[in-house]
Formats: sequence, structure tokens, C-alpha cells
Amino acid sequence: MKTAIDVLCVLYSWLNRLYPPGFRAAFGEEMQAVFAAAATEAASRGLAALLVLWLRELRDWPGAVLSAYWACALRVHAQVTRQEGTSMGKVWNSTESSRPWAIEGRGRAMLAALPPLVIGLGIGVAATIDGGTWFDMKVWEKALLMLLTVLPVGILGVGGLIALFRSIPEWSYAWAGGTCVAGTVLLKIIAEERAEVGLSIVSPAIDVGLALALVAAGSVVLVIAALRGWAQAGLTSIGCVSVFGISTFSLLRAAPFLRHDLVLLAAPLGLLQAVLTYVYVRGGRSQAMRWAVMALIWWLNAAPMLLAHQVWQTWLAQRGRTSPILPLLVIVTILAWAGPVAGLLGRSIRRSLGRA
Amino acid sequence: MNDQQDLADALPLTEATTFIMLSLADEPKHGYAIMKDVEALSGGRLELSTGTLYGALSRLLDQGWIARCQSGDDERDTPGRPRKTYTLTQIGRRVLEAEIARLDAVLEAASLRTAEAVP
Repeated sequence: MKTAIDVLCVLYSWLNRLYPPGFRAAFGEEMQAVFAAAATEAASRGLAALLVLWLRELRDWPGAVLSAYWACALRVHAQVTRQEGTSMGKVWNSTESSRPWAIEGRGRAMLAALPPLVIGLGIGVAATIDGGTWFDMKVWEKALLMLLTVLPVGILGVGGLIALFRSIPEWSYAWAGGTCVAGTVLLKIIAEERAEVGLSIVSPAIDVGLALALVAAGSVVLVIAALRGWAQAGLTSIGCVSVFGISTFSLLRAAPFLRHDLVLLAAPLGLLQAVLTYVYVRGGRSQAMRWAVMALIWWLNAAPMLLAHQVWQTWLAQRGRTSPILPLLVIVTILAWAGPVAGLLGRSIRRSLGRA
Repeated sequence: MNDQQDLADALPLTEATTFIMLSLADEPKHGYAIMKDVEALSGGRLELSTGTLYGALSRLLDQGWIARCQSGDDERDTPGRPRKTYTLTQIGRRVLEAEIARLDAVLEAASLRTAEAVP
């Protein structure tokens, strides 16, 4: 039973890391101690009582974390109002002359901008060794191709997990958003491959559950970023949309298209988006610059969809099927703008509270 | 909290907040003691998770209804760190009294109405 308590305490400490840093500094150790005491007491009543305690913690955890972030945002708002002696409207509407958010260190800014480059390089480099259909390839070519496909997703995933355990620090918004999208895309690709031979990954219900869990995780990351500010939420969106847009290139590699020449474009596109993301996180003279970068990144990720549409349309038309271009463009648009819009909605709510 | 209007604006309290403040009404308590006391006060109906408890404590501290202080006893949460206790402030006590009066009024109205309904 002691092992079960120890394991739950470790899991609890991981969950605690997602509270805002200020809240964690004030209550983190105390909460950990109270949980350990409650777990020890519950364990003395049996494993079922311990399980009930753990499930209660899990049930209340998302609400408690979001509530702590909300309280944190209100506290910051109150401090700003007191210090500046001005209305919230003036504070939130101020342009970049006050630089409300920017990553100051160049190293951290580069780290924040890496996700598009990681995914673009992975897909682009994989195209150079992929000379034919899957069945024509040698074993080492298949192994290398799989490695180059899985490696960028793995790097992104490790970055995303580090972000999660460190309470989504400033450099990690794009990593966290990109990880959720990469995980969902990878899950869909594997599910489609398995579906061709009439199989599911685990079971149909669990597959759908996994996909929903990833989408929910992405939404939680977006809400947390939006509570911190629209620029942070925008960076989360950049991570999501760049990973989704660049991933489209991997579809052009599949038979019967085999357009490896086009797939190579993923690398320079990833590099270009990384540079734009760097410009975004370093901040500029006005918020308009950030909006312009967001719009450019949106367009850059809609372009691969249009390119794919050109490649697919003849083949699809011959089979009497419609191109999926419209839903893809809708998804790209939602991913690109969900962050800034969520951030602005959060800002409006804070302004209303400020007036109240 | 300058007048009755401010007190009225603060009400009603949530069930968890009411029980936490009730728990602190007799003496200062630390987190785990509050958790167990709330469970006992509510007859086992309200079992707080640590997230809910500390979220509520954080809000009550921000509102100035409770205060946090070092415990005088020798018990410690972690080695080298004295246990923190929470106590009701004067404002908090007034808010709690106002909430109890409000609940009393509700109960009285309910008793009258149900008594009238009896044939």
C-alpha cells in the first residue's frame, strides 16, 4: 500500500506543476503535504478509499487549475490598475510602446520558434530518401524513413511534455500546441493505415477517446495561454497551425502521387515559419506587426493545402470524389485564429471585470 | 467591508466556502484539519479535494476574510517548514454571521410555508 501512496504522491506532484507559478509557490508544498496525509489516512481504510480519493482529486483538478489561473489574471489586473492609476481599457488597448509580452532572451526566442523547423526538416529530409512506393523500398530505407517521420514528432512530443511539466513556460506555447496537433495527426494517419486492413489501433472507442483527449489537451493549453494574454495564445496557435500545415506535405508523398519534389518544400517552409515565429516572439513596435505575422503564417499554411488540392484534384475527379480542400482550409483557419481570438475574448472579459 | 450593502453583495456564499469558514469559526486550523472538519460538519456529504480546498483558501485570503499564519505547535508539513494555519478575520467573521442569518431567514420562510401547506 505504501508503494501505491508513493506513486500517487508523485503523480500528484506532476499535476501540481500545472498550477500558476505564484499559486504553486504559495500553496504547492502545503497541498502536497495535505494530499500525502489524506492518502495515508484513506489507505488505512483500504485500496478502494484510496482510489476514491484519487478520483476526487482528478475530477476537481481541471476546474481548480483554471480557477487558479483566472484568479491570477484578476490579481495581475488589480495590480496593474493600482500601479498605473489608469483604466483597464487603456492598459489593454495600449500598443507595443509598453511591450506587454515578448521573450527577451534570443536563445529562448529561438527555442520558442523551433517547432515549425523541426517538423519541416523532418518531412523534407524524409523526402530525399524516399524514392518510390513503400513496397519498392529496401528495409534500411523503410527504417530510415520511419525514423525520420517519427523523430520530429518525438522531439516535438518531448518538448511538449517538458512544457507541460514546467507549467507551460514562455518559450513553450508553440511546442505545447504543436505537440497536441502532431499527436492528433499521427493518430489519424495510423488509424487510416490500420483501417485499410480492417483494423483499429486499439479499439474504435479507445481510438476516438485518444483523439478527443488530444483535442481536449490542446484546448486546455489554449485556454491557459489565452488567460495569460492574446500574444501567448497566438503563439500557441502558430505551433498548432504550422505543424498541421507542414504535415500536409507528407500526404503528397503517398502513392499514387509520389511528389517528393514538392515534399522537399516542407523544409524551407518550416525554416521560413520559424523565422517569422522568432520575429513574433521577440515583439515589435506595434501589435499590428504581430497580427501581420499571424496572417502571413496562416497564408503560408493554407498554401500547402492549395498545392495538395492541385495534385489531388485530377485523381479524385476520375473517381468521382470531391477534394477535401474546404474542410482542410477551415481547420487551418480555426487553428490559426483560435488563439488570438480566445486571447481577445479573455481580454474583453477582464476589461468588463475591470469596469465592474 | 464598510456597510451592510457590502456584506449583502458578498452573499450568498458557496457551500464549500461556508463550510470552510464555519470550520475556522472556533479556532485556527491547518489545511488537512479543515478538510476533515468540513467532512464532519457536513455529515460526510462534502469531501473537499486539495484543489478545491486551496482554491477556496486562496480566494478567501485575497478577499481578506481569512488570514494565514505560522502554527505555534511543533507539527510540520515538511522538514524545516512550519505548518501554516488559517484563521477567520474580523471581516470574515461578519460575512459568516451574515450568511448564517441569511440561511436562518430562508429556513424560517421554508418552515412557515410548509406549516401553512399542512391540511
